[in-house]
Amino acid sequence: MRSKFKWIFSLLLALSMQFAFAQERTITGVVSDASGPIPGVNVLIKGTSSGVQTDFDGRYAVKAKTGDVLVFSFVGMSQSSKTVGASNTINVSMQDDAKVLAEVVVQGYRTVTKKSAVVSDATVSSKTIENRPNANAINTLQGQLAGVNITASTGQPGAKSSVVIRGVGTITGNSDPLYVIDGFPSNSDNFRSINPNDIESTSVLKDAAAIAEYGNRGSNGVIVIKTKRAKFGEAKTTFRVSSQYGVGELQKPKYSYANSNQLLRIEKNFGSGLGATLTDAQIDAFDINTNWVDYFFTQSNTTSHNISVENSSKNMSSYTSLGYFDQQGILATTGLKRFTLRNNINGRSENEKFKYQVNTSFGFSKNNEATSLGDGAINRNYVLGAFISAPYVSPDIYTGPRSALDYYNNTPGLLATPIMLVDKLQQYKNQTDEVRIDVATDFSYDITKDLTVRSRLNGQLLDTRFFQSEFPNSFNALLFQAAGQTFTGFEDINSRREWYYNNLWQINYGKTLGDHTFNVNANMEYNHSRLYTNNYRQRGLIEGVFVPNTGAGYAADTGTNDFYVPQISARNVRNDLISYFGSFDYDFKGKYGIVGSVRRDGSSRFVESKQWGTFYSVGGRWNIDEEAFMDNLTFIDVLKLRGSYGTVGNQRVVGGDAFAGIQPPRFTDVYSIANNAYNGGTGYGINFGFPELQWETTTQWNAGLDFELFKGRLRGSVDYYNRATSQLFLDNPVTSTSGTANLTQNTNVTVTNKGLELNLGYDLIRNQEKEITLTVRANGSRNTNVVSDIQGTGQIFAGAGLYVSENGGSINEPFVFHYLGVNPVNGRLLFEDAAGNPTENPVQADKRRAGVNYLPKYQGGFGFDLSVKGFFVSTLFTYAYDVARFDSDLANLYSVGNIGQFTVTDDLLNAWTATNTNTDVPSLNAGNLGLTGTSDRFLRDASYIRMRNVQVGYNVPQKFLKNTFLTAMSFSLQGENLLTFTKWEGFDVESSRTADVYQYPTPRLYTFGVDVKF
Amino acid sequence: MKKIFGILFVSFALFASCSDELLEPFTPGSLTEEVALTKSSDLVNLVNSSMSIMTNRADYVFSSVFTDEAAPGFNNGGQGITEDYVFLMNVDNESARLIWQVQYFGLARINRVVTFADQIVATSPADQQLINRAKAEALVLRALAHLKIMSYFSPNPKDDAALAGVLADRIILTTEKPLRVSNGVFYTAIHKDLNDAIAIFDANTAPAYPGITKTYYPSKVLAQALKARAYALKGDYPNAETFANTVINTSGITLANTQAQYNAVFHTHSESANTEVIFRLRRTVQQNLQTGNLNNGWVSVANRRNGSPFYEVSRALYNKLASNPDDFRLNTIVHLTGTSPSLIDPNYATATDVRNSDIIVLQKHGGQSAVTAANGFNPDFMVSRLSEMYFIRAEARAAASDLIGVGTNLKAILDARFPTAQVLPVFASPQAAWKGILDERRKELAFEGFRFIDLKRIGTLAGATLDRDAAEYASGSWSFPAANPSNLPLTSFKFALPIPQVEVNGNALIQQNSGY
Repeated sequence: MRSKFKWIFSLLLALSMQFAFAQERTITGVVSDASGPIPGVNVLIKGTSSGVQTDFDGRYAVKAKTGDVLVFSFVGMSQSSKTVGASNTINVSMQDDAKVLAEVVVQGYRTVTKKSAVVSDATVSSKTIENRPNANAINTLQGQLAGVNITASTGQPGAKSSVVIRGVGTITGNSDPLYVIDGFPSNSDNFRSINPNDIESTSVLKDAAAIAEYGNRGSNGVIVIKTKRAKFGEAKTTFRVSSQYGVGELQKPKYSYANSNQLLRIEKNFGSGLGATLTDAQIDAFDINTNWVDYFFTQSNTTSHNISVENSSKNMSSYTSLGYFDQQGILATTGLKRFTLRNNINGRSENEKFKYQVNTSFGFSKNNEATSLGDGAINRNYVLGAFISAPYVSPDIYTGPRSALDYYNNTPGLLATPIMLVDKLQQYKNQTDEVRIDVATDFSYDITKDLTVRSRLNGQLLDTRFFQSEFPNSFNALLFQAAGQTFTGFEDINSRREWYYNNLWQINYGKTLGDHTFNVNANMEYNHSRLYTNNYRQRGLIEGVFVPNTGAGYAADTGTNDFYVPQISARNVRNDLISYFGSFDYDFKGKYGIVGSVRRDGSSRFVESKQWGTFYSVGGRWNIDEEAFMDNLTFIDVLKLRGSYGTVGNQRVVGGDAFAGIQPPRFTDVYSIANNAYNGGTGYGINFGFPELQWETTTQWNAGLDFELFKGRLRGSVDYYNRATSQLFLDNPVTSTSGTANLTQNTNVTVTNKGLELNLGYDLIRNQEKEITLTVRANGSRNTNVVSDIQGTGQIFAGAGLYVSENGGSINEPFVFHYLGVNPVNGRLLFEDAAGNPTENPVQADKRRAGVNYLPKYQGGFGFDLSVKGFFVSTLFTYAYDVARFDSDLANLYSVGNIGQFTVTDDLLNAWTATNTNTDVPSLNAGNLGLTGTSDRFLRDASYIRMRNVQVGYNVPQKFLKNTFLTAMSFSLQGENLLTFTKWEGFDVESSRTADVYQYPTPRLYTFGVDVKF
Repeated sequence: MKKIFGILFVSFALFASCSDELLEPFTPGSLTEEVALTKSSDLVNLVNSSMSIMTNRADYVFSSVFTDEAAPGFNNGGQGITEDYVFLMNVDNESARLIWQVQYFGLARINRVVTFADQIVATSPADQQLINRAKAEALVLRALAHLKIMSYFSPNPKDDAALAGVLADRIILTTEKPLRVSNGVFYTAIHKDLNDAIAIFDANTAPAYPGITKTYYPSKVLAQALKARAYALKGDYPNAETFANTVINTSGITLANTQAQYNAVFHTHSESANTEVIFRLRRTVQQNLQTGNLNNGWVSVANRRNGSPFYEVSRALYNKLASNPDDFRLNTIVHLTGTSPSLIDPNYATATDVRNSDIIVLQKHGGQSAVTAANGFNPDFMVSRLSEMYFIRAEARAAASDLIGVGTNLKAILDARFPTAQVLPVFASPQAAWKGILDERRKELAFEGFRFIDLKRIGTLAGATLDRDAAEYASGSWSFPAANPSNLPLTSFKFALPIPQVEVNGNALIQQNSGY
C-alpha cells in the first residue's frame, strides 16, 4: 500500500510540472487598492490552475504567454481580469466588492441578498463545520448561532443532539426544528449517516416571515442545510483530501468518591455490607481499589478521511465526495463507523433558461450504541456500573459467565453489579446498520425573463437493521433461565424503513418597473412520510453454533414448552401533508421592502374539518443606510431595520420522532386488540382521544436591526422576538376515573417565549502588511419562557408531580420542598414550610416551584480567530446561564440504600451522629430521607462556560507549494471540551434533560488533521 | 416549454382531486367505539382487559411492606426503604397512585361492558346469555374495585357519612371532574351491583367454565363472598355472617386440608376442583413480565435466596409461623428447603450482620416454579378464598361477644392447616378474641393484600399495634429508626391513603383526606 500511494503521488507531481513547462515569459506587476498595495491577492491564469500570490508589497511575478488572461482575486474585492499583451508589466487596481457584503440570506424557499432580506437569519459556513471531530454535524453548530440552543446530551457517537430554537413553545408536544437539506424539508432528524464535510452552509430560520414557507412543520424553527456544489465556469477540476486522527477521553466529575477503605468504613459505621464484617485493621489493610469509571470508560480513537472533487464547466458542474469516519466511543463497546458518498450535479441549458440540480447522497453507517442509559438496570447499563460500583470489588473475579453467576449468588445485595456488566461486555452485542439515500432535485425553467416555473422532487430512504444478542449461557441468560429451559439467550433483529417524499410546484413572477420591484409566487407542496418496521425476537440460542446477526444457532419451538417461541411485530405508519401557499415581495428603491405570505395546510394527523389550517405572515424592512440623511455618517456601512409578524402551524401532537402520535390516532377513542389479556383470551386496549384535535398555532413577531460599521470591521445584528403558542398540544392531566390519567389535546394554555438575540463580530486587527488578523465574535440570547392561561389551579404537573408548569412561571420547573439542611438535634432533614419556617414533615402545600428549569435563560457562544502569517488559532466558547436540573448521580452517592452494595461519597463519613451534630450530611437513619427526591436538595445550577473547540493550525504559504502540484495545505490541532467552568459537579454539565443519572457524558477530544487541495 | 406547462396543469389537477384521499388518516387496527363494541365477544374482550388491568400487585406489595408482613431483603437496592417501609406517605406515593388508578382504569372498561351489554343486539338466545354473563361479571368486578377504593381511601369505612372515593357506576368522560361520595353511597352501589349480578347468574345458562377455570372468573359465589366482605368492612356483622354462611354452606368449596393441597393453591395452582379458592386473577406464562409478576413484587428473579429478594418475610411473622413447624402455612410462605433456601439465624436478635445472616425468603406466590423469564410460570393473584369466610364468621361471633363461636370458627381453619386436629382456641375477652382473629388472619392471609385493611378495620378492637421485630429495623445492619412501628399508631391518618396527586392534577376540587 505504501509504495502504491507514493506512486500516485509522483504521478500527480509530474502533471503539475507539465503546466510549469508551458510558460513563455514572466509578467510582473503590483496589485493595489485605494489604500495601497495588497498582499495575498491570487493571480491565476484563466483556464489553468497555474497561479501565484502577491507578496507583502503587492508584487507578483507569473509566467504567461501573450493572450493569456490573468485573473486577480481577493476576498472582499471584486475580481478583475487583464489580458496579457506586449507589456511584461501589468499593474492592477482593485475595488471593494459591494456584493460581498451583500451576503445571501435564506428566506423561505428563496435566497435573497442580505440587503433585501426582511428576516432574522443566522448562518454558519463550511469553514466552521469542516473537520470538526463530531460525528453529528448539528453538534458542531453549537454556540455559533444566536438563539439556537444545541445540546449534545450524550457522548454516544452519532447520537442526535437536542436543538431548541427560541425556547420551547410547548409543554408536552414536539420542540424539534425542521431540517431542510438542499431544499428538501425532511422530517428526519437523524444525522449519523451524513458527512459534515459535505455541508456548505447551515442557516437557521427563526422569525415568522422566514419560516412561513415551511409553515406546516416549521413552528419550532427551521435549519436549512446546503451541501457543497461546484460553480459553473471555465473547465476546471480541483481535488481536496483531508484526514484526521484523534483521541477522546472522559470529562471527569468533581464528585468525591469514597475509596475502598473509606467505603468499608462507611459500611462498618452503618452496619451493612462487607465493611460491617471487617475489623478496623482489616479495613486498613484492604488493598483492592478498583476505579470502575476507568474500567468502563477508556480512551477512544477517531479516524476520518475525506476526498472531494469539484468539476466545473460552462453549463455543467459537479461536486463529488467520499468520506470515511470511524469514531470509538469513550464508553466500552460504543462507536460509529460511516462511509459516505455524495454527488451534486448542476446543469443548465445553453440559453440558461433551464436549470437543474440533482443532489444525491449515499451514507452507510454502523453504530454501536449503549443500552439502558439513564436506567437503573444494574445488569444492563454500563454507565451505572462505572458510576456507582463498589471499588473493593475486583474485575479479576470474572472468569466467565458462570463465575459472574456464582459471585452474584454469593455476595450480599447488588454488590455483583460490576461483574454482571463485565460479563455483558463479552456476552452481548448490538449494532445498527443504516443505509441512507437522499436525492434532492430542483428543475426550473424561465418561461419569460420574469416568469419561472420550478419543480422540486425529493426523496429520502432510511433503512436500518438493528440487532442485539444476549449470548446463550451469558450471565443474564443463566440468571433468567427457566426450569427445563435448555437454550438460553435471545436475539432481536429489527428492520426499519423510513421513506420521505416531497414534491413542490412553484410559479414565480418577478418584475422591476423603475424603482419598484415585485415578486409573486404560488406554490403547492405534497409531503409524504412512511415508516415500516419488522421486528422479531428469537428466544433460545444454541451455544457453540450461534453467531450474532446471522440466524445461526436459533433453537426452534418444541412441543414441551413455549420457551423458544419467537416474538414478532410489524408496523406501518403514514403521515401526509398538503400545502398551498403564496408569497408576495415588494421593494422600493432598495430602501423599503415588504413581504407577505399566506398558506393553507392539511395534515392526515387530524380528521375532517380539523385537517386544514390557515397561516400567514408579513414582514418589512427599511434600509436606513440608503437614506440621504445617512450620507454624512460615513462610518455606517449598513443599517437595516426589519420586522415581521405571522403564524405557523404545528401538527406533531406529541414529542418523539416524526411518526410519534399517529397510531393510535389521538382524535378519537380507539379500541385495539390486546393479546393474552386474560387467561389466554384477547382483550381491548383503549386509547382515549380528543375529537377536537387540530393544528397548534405559534404566533410570532420579530424586530431586528442589522448593522455594519467602520468599513465592515464591526458587524452584527440584534433581534427581539415574542412567540406565543396557542391551541397548545398538551398531555393534559384528567381525572383517572375516566380511564386515563392524561389526554393529549389542544388546550387554551399559552406558552410564550420572548427574548433578545445579539450577534457581533469585530475585526480587532486587520493588518494586511504584517499578515495579522484578529477577529472576535460573540453571540448570545436571552429567552424568557412563560406559561399562562392555565385554567383551574393554574398548574399543570408532569413527572408524577415533580415538575410544574404554572401561570407566570416557565414550563416544567421542579416543584419541590425547599431543603434547608440538617437538624443538628436529630440529624433529620429540614425543609421550609409555606410560612417560611423549618419543618421535618412538610406537606404538599409546602412545595413550590423552583423558579428555574432545565432550559437556560441565557446561552450562546463567543471566541476569536487569530491568524499570523500562515499560523491560525481559533476558539469557540459556549455558555449557558440560569439553568438547573437534578444531579441524580450525586443523589445516588448520598443514597443510604446504596451502602453495602454500591459506592457512595466519602462525605457520608461526615454524616450526622449524636457526636457529630454540626454537619450538612443528614443522619444515615433519618426518617425523612425519602423526601430528598421531592426536594431541591440535589437540584443544581447547571450554568457553564465551556471551551467547546480550540484549533491551532498552519497554512503552508504558497511559496513553499509553488513547485508542487498542491494549491493549499494546512495542518491543524484541535481540542473539544478542553475546559469547562461550572458549579456542576457531575460528569458533564451539558444536558437537555431535567435530571441526569447514569448518562453517557460527552468526551473531550484531541485531533490532528491534514487538509490538502490540488 | 409547452410540455412543462402541460405537466404542471395535470399535476395541479391531480393535487386538487387527490388531496382528500391523501389526507385520510391511516390507522390500521384502531377501531372506533361504534365498530369495536357490536357483539358479545367484544364485551368479553373488555371484561378480559378489565381483569388484566386489575391484576396488579401494588396493593399486595404495599400492604405487606407498609405493615409488618415484609422486611427489607438482603438484595434491597433501595426499593421502598425510604418510603413505604418507613411509613412515608404523601400525595406522591406510588403505591397510593397505583391502587387508585388500577381500580379506576379497570372501572372505565367495566362500565363500558355494563353500558354496552344493554345496547348490543344478541345474534341468538345463547349469545344473549353470553352478553348477560359478561355484564354480571362486570358488575361483580365493579363492586370489587369500589370495595378496594373504599378500603384504602376512606378514613373510616364503618361510617356511612365518611368519604369513600369517586363513584364510577357509569362511563366517566375525560372532561368531567367528579367528586368523592360518602361510604353510604358506595355501600349501596356495591350491594346493588352484587345483587344484580347474583340475579343474572341465577338465570344464566351460558356454558359453565370447566373445573378450576371457574375460579378465574367472577361468579355468584364471589358476589356472595364480596357481600360478606363488604358487610364486614362496614361492621354490619349480622349481614356479613349471613353471606359468609351462604358461601360456606352452598358454594361446595372446601378448605385445602393437606400441605400438598395448600401448596398447590399458591405454588402451582393445581389444587383439586372446589378447593379453597373462590376467585383468583389468572396469569398465563405468556404474561410473564418482571414488572407485572406478583412474586416480583418482593424478588427480582426468583423465590430463592439467590433470586435477588429485595423484600423478605418479616422476622416477626416468621416467628409466629415457626412457633409450630407443622403449620402448613410456614412451608407454603417461607422457602425453607430446596435450591438456595432461606438462611435462618437462630441468634438473629444479636447477630452483627443480620441482613446477611438471616434471610427469610418468601415463596407463597408461585413457590419454586415461578421464574422471571419469557413464557415462564408466574403466579395467579388470589382475590378471595374460603378461609376468609370463616374469619368473617369468627368476627361476627366476636362482635356478638360469642367467644366460643370465635374459637369454633378459627378451629375450622386451623384443623385444615395442620396435619392433626387442633385444640379449640379460648379467649378471655372480646378484645382477646379480636386479637386472636387478627393474628390468625395475619398468618393465613399473609401477602394477599389484607393486612393493611385488617389493621385499619379491627386493629383497634384487638388492641393491636404493628408488629415488627427490632432486628428488622434497628439492628447492627439495619438501621431505620423511622421504621419503628411506634411511628405508625393505628390511629394515624395514614391509614387512609392520600388521593394521589395525579388525580388532583386533573381534578383539582376532589376532596383530599386530612393529614396530607
